[in-house]
Amino acid sequence: MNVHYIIILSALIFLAFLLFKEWKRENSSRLWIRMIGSAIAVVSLVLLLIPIKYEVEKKESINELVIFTEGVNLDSLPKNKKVYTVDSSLLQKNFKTKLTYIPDLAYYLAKHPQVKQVNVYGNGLASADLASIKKLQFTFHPSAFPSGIPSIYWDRQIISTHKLQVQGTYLNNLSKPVQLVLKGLGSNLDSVVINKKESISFSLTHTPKLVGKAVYKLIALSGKDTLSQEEIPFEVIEKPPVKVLVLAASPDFEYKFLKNWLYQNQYPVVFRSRISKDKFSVDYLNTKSTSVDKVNQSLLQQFDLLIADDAELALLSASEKLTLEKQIEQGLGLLIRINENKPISVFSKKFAYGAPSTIRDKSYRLKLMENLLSPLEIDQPLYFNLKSGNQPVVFTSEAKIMVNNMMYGSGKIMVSTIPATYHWFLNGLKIDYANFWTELINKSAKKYNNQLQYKIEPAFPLINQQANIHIENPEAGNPVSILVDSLVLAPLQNKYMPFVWKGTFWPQQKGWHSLKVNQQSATSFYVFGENSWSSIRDADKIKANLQIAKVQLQKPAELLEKSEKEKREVSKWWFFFLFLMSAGYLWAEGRMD
Amino acid sequence: MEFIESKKWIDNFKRKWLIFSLLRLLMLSGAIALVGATLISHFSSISFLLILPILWLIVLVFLWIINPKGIEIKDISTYLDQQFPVLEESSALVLQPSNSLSFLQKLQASKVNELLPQLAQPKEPISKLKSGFLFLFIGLSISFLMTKLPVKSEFMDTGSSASAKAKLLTDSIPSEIERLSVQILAPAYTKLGSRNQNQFTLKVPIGATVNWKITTNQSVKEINFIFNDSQVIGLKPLNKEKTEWATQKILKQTGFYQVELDGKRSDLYEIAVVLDLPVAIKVNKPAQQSVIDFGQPQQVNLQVLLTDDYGISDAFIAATVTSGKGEGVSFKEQKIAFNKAVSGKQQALNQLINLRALGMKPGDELYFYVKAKDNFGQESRSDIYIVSIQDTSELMSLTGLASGVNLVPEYFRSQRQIIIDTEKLLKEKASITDTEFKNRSNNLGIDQKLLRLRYGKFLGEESETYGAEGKVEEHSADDGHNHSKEENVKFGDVQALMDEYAHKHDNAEDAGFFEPELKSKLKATLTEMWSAELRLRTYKPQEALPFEYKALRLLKDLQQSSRAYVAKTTVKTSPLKDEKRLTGELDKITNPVNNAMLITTDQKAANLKKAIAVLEQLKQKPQLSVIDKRMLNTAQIELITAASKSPSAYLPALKLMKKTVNGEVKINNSEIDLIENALQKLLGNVQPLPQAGSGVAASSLGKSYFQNLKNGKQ
Repeated sequence: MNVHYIIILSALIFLAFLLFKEWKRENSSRLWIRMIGSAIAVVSLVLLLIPIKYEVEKKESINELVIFTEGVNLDSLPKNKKVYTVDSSLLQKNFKTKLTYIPDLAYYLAKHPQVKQVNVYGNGLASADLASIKKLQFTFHPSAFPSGIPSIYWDRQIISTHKLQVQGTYLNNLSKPVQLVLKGLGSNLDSVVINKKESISFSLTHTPKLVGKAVYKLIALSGKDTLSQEEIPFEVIEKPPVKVLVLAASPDFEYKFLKNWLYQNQYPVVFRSRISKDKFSVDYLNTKSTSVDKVNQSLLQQFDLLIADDAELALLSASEKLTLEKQIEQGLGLLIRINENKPISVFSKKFAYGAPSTIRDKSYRLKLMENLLSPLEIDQPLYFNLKSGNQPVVFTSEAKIMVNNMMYGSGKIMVSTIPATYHWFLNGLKIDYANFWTELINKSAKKYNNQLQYKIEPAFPLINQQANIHIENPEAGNPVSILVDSLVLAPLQNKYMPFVWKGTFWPQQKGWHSLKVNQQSATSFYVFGENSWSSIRDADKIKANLQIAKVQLQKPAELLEKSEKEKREVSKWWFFFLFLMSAGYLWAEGRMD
Repeated sequence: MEFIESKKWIDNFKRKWLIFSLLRLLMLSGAIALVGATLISHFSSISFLLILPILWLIVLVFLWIINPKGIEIKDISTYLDQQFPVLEESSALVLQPSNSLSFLQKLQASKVNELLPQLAQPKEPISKLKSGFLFLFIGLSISFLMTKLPVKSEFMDTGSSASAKAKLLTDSIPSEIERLSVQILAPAYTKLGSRNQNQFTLKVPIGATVNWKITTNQSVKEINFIFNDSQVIGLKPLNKEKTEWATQKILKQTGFYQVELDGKRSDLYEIAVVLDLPVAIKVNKPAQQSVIDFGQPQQVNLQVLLTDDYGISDAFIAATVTSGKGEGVSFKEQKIAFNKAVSGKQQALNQLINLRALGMKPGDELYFYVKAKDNFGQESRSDIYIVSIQDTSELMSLTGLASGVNLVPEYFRSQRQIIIDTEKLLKEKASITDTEFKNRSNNLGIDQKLLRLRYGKFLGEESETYGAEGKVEEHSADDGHNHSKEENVKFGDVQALMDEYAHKHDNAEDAGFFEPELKSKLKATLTEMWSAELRLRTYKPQEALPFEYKALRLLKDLQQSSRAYVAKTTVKTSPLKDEKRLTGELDKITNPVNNAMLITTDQKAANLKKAIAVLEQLKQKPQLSVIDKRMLNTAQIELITAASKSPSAYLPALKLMKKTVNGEVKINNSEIDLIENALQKLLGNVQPLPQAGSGVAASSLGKSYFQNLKNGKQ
C-alpha cells in the first residue's frame, strides 16, 4: 500500500511540475490541450503501475460441476461458469487462471454432496474417476477423436514363416496425406497412405525372417515430419511339424507331389495307397513305420491331419468310420479330396456341392483369404453351396467356394474339390503351391492346447502403470504361481471362473518381461513406454465415457445457482496507449512551430 | 602564420569523407557480391561462404577501377565553399601557405580561419552512407528471396552424390600406420597405367597388380594381410627398424581384406575387381533375315557398332555360303575382313558385302556373323544373320505342280552294271575296232566317275577332288608322265597349296550322319572306284576289273553294315496254375513298404533367423550372453562368405558384425539395422510352411463348449 501512496504522491508532484512548466512556457498556444495531455500522461503512467480492479458478479450453479479434461477445445468453455479440471497437465497449458484443479475427484465429490451433475469436456475421465461419479448425472461433450490410430491389432506371437499382419484404423484429421510405414529389421516393410481428412482401416503385412523376439515400428509420416512412432513387439516361435497321414484310394500325381513336398520340408508323412482289396502300398517318410492296415484309434492319435479321398473314406469299415469321427471330435483334422460329383462318404455328405453346367477346361484364379493365386486349370469345377456352420477357405475369383471347412467337435473337416494343384509346381509357381497347402493344412490340422493361456490387461501395458495378468490355471484347484521376471505375484482367484487367476503388478522397465507360471511354462510380454499408443488410450477413454454418459443420461436435475463475485483487472494496455498518445502529442507539439 | 585550426578542420572533414565513401563502396560491392554469390551457390555446388569473399574482393577492385577518382583537399574546399556561404568562397585560402598570400588574401584567410572551426561539419558523408546501407539492404533481401527459390535438383544431386562418394572412400586406417601408399598397376592391355592411392579400399581392373607400402610409426614385428578372412599374406620388412613394409598381389577376385599388425586386426577393406567385358557387337543393318529379290543389287550393307571397355583388337565377318538344297547342300566358309582397321574403345563399321563376289547364285543363302576380339583376348560374336537371294528358276519350274513325285532319270549305272559292261567289252574286244574299244572304255570310265560322284555325295564331297590317296595312286600309276606337283597347282592358289600341307580338322565332310567306320569304308570304296575309272579312261579295262570288283564288294559290305539286325525271339511265360485262377486270394501278396528319412544338415537359415532375434534383443538390452555370441558368430561366418562374393553389399554389415561380436565398440540401433538388413538379404525369400496351430482352450469348459457346439448343429 505504501508503494501506491509513494507512486501517487510522486506522480502528483511530477504533474504539478509539468503543469507549471506548461503554464510558464512563452508560447501559450494550445495551453489547455497541453495541460490536459500532461495530466492524461501522468495519470495513465500511474495506472500502469497501479492496476485498477473491479468486481463482476458470476453465477455458478452449486449442484453442477464442469470438468475439463485433456483434448478439450478451449472455445467450448461455457460462459459464466466455474470450470474445474482433474488433469494437472491441462493446468500447465497456459490458462491456469481459468481452471480450478481438483486433485482427487472422489474426495471433492464427497466433500461437496450438493453436486448433482457433472459435465465433462474433452477426452473424458479416467476409469477410476468414472467410477466415482456413478450416482451422478453425467453429460459428456467429447472432443473430436484425435488424429492417429484409435484401434490396432496384431498377433503378439506368430508362427515361423507365417505372416505378421498389423491391422487397424487410422484417422487423419490433418489437411495433408499421412503415410503409415511398418518398419523393422532395418528396412521399410509395408506402407499405406491415408488421404487428408480420411479414416481408413489398414492392414500391413510382412513375413518376418527370424525366430525369436523382435520389435517393429509403425511410423506415421506427414511429408518429412514424423507424427508418431509406435512399437510393434512380437515373438516368432517354431512349432513342431504337422504329422500327416494320407489314405489314397489310388495313387495319383496330386498325392505324389504333395507327399514329396511334405517330405522335402521334413514333415512326418505316412502315405497309404490302396493297390487291391486290403492291400496297400505304404510310404513312411520322415517317420517310423507303424501298421496302417486298419484305421484305429492308436494310429490316428499319432497324427494331426488325415488327408484322404472321398472314395477311400467310403471304403472304410463302419467301425473305422466311427473311430475316425471320434478322433475328429478330439481335434484331429480331416482333409477330404473330392473327385466325384456326388458325395460318397459319410464325411463329405455333411457338405453340399455339385458341378455347374459351365464350360470345362477353364483357368481359375483362386483366392486364399486376401491372397490371389496364379491361374490354375480345372477340368470340371465343383462348387460348394454355403451351409450354416461352414467356413469357406478357397474361392474362385467369382466368389464360388472351392475349399470348404467346418468345425466338428474340437477338430475340423475340410473338403477340397480342386483336383490338381501340382500344375503350379510344374509351372515353377512353388510359392503358390506352398501358400495353398500351407493355408489348407494350417486351417485343418489339429490344434494343440497352449501350455499357457493368459491375457494381459491392458492390451498395451505401460511402464509405471498397473498391469493385470489373467491366467487359466492348467492345474485346476491349486493356486497358480506367477513369476514375472523374478517377481512373485500374489494370485487372486476369479469368483465365477475358478480356473482363472489374476496377478497384478507395476512394470518398472520398458521392454520384454518374462512370465513363468507354475515354474514351467515360460513366455514373454512387452511393456511399452510411457507415451506409447496414446491415441488408442484417448479413443478408449472417449468410448468409455460415452458409454457411461449413455447409461447415466437421465432428466437433468434442477439446477441451483449461486452468485459469486469475481475480481477482474482492467488491461494495462489501455493505459499504455493513453500514455503513448498523450506523451507523443506533447513531444510533437513542441516541434510544431 | 599558418591557419592550423582550419586546416585541421578540413583535414578532419576530408578523412571523414574518405572513410564514409570507402564504407559506402564496401557496402555497394558487398551488396553486389551477396546477390552474385547467392546466384552462384544456388546453381552450383560451390559453398556460399567460399564464394562470397572472393566475389566481394573482385567487385571491390572492379568498382575501384571504374571509379578511381580520389578526393583531394581542393575538392573539399570547393565543396565547403558551396556548402557555407559564410566562407565567402575563400576556404581554399587557409590551405595555402600564408607567405604566398597577398595581404587581402591573408585578411580573408584569417577571417575564414576564425569562422571555419565553429561551423558544424556537413552531413553529406553520412547521407552517402545511407545510400550504401540502402544498397546493402536491397542486396540482402534479394539474396534472401533467392534462397527461397526451388533448387534445381540435378545440381543438388551431383553435389550430394559427390560428397557421398567422398564419404564412402574414407576408411579407417590403424593408428600405427603412419603412411600408406598403394600402387595399382593395371594390366598393360587396359592402357590405364598405374595409379597411387593412400587408402586400403581398392577398386581395380581385373588382373591388376597391387603394391602396398606401409610405413609404421614404430617398429612392428609382423604385418599380415588377411584376404577374405582366410588367405594370409605376410608383408616383408624393407628396413632394419622394421617400420617399412611392402607386398604385392595380383587381384582377380572381388572380396575384402584386413591388415593385421602384430596380431591386432584392423577394419575390413573392400576389394572391388572390375571385370573386363567382351566386345559388345551391335549389328544395325541388315535385319536378322533378309531376302534379296530379283532385280535388287546383290549386295548387303553391313553396319556394326563395336564397343569395348578397354579396346578392340580384331574383328571380322565369318560368312558361310550355302548352295543347293535337300541332301545336296554345300557349304563354303569364308572370312571377310573389314575394310577398316579395327581399334579403339568404340568403332562403327560400314561394309558392303558383294554377294556375287562370294560366288552366290540365286537360291543361295549367306549366313554370317561378326566376331570380335578385345585386347585381353576375349572373343565375342554376334547373332547369325541370314541373307538369301531368291531363286526365280525354282519358282518357274513346274515339277512340283505337274507330277507329285520328282522323278530323276537313272543316268548312272550301278557298279554291278559297270562290271558286266566291262566284262562284255573285254569279250568283244576282238570283234570291235580299236577306236570303238577306246570309246566304250572311256564311256565306262565316265559312268564310273558318275557313280563315284554319287557316292561321294554321301561323304559331303562336292567336287571331283577328294582324298589324297586317289591322286597319289593316279600319279604312281601314270609313270609315263613326269607330273610335278607345281604343275598341278595353279600359281597363287594359296588354298590348294595349304591343303597339301595342312592337317585339317572339322571338315565339312565329317559333319555327316555316318559313323567314322562307315565313312572310312565309303572312302575306301571311292578310292577303288577312282582307280577303276582311271584304268577305264586309259583304255585298260582288264586292269580296271579288279578294282571294280573290289569296289562292289566294299559297297556290299557297306550295305550290310548299315543294316540293323534283330533276331526273332519267342516269349516264354510262366505257366498258369489253373487251381488258383480267379480265386481272388491275395494273402501271399505282401504290402510294398517304402521308408525314407530326409536329414538336412543345412542349418544356415535357422542360424541366421536366430541371429536376427539376438540382434533385436541387443537393441533393447546392450549385452550379449555366451550363447548369443555363438549365434552371432555362426551368422558372421555366413556374412564372410557373402562378403567375399559381393563386398559392396555385405562388407559394411560384416564390419559392424565383427565389432558386435568382439564387443569392442558399443553399437547403436541404426548399425544393428544395417546388419539385420544384410542378414535378411542373405535369407532370401521365405516359403510359407504349414505348422501345427495352437489356440484350443485347455480347460474342460472350453472342451465341453466345442462338444456342445457340435451336438447343437446336428
